[in-house]
Amino acid sequence: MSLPGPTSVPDRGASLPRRSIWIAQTLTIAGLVAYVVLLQALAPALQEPGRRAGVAVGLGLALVPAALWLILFYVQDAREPEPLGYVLRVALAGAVLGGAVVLPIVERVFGSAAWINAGPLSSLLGSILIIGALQEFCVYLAVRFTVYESDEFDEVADGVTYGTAAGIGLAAMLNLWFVTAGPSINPGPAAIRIVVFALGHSAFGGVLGYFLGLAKIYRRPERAVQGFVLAAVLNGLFTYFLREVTQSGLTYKPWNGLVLAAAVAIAVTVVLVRREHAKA
Amino acid sequence: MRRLDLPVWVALVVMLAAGWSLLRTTGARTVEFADTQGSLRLRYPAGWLRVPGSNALLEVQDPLSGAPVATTLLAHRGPKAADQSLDQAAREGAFDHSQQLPMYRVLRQRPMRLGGRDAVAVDYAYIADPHESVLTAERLPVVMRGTEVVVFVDQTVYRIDLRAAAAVSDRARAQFEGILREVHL
Repeated sequence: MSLPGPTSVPDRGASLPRRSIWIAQTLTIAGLVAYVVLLQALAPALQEPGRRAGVAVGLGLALVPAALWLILFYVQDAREPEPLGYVLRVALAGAVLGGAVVLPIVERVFGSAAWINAGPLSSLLGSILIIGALQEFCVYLAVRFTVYESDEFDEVADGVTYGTAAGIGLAAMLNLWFVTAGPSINPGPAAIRIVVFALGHSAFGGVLGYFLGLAKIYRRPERAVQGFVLAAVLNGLFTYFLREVTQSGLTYKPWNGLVLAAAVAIAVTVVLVRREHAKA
Repeated sequence: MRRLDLPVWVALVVMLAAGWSLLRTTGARTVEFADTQGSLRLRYPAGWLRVPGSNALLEVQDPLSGAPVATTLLAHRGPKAADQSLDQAAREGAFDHSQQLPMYRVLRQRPMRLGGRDAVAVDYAYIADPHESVLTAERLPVVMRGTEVVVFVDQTVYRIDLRAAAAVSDRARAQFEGILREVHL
């Protein structure tokens, strides 16, 4: 993956890389993988607890990744403070837009159920041009119209933080929909799927946020659309390949999805950290 | 700010328009079926073919399922017996299938919602012979998986059923979920 770096030194924002963000990102990836492993051990105890209790378990599962990221972010950020209120606001905006825009438009307007498994070409094109575009547009809106104009958004790394927060919020909403849509869930595979979504959307949100950071700090507005298109393409490819690696004939292989999501999240974090260091 | 937001909006519109138009030309089209004597309406993939001479309300097959036995979508309408529950109707359907389909067995029965109504889904399996009409054939019999969804509309029982070779049943199940989301009762 090749991301553009800054092309001129701005008056502000030329600070050292914010280690707290990257530590929080790395700990979140590790924590989510550990969470999945823990859930596999607890899955028998959570299995078939009844419809109402099942929904409660599902809601818990769906919200844990977002809560984990926010807690880690808050703990790490104590040394280099970024207003938690803004982070929460952006995450909430990502969730609300996901529920109000992504789900109804993808499901109802574009009828995703009819083409998502209709064939490789339909699936790939739909994943990039419709699902990826709409989801990343929500991340864009969530950052753009909550914190982008704020004075608190004064480093490129802030863009990564807020983009990730919006992605986490979006993932939380998609996961809530996932656990409440079916008659019951199997906690083991469900936990993996939830974590896969959280890892993926936080990574793509981070990419888009990075570009928004470049757009604002270096006054390069074209970076915003570049980031949006790149994040949408990455998102769509991820959505497509996630289906490819987890479905094999009659067998559903959720662990393959976790490996893919963790690899994507780590790769994105490494690339963004390197860009930050290059900037410093 | 116009220089920031406008290109993103344009990119979104272009991507959605391209996605929509491409999907319309790559097999995502659907055909509507409406029960003229009842309230059932559903949509199935446009490439699926009606089975001539079928006794079912609707019987269509996917000619490109890639399996030795075609994926088949069936819909049946029948009268609802007095005081009949959904579970009873589902069991009766399973009994009928057991008389017609070799090695038929129910894998799972589960409640669900269909077209805003309570329904019951019965997942089942059986064995199909791709060469029923000949005594000698090199192909082995095929394990089939299916799901029949039973729902009441007033005094009518609708049964919507999708059967597919086990080797392609994951894809078929996803298609069936899409079909069921578009069911109106």
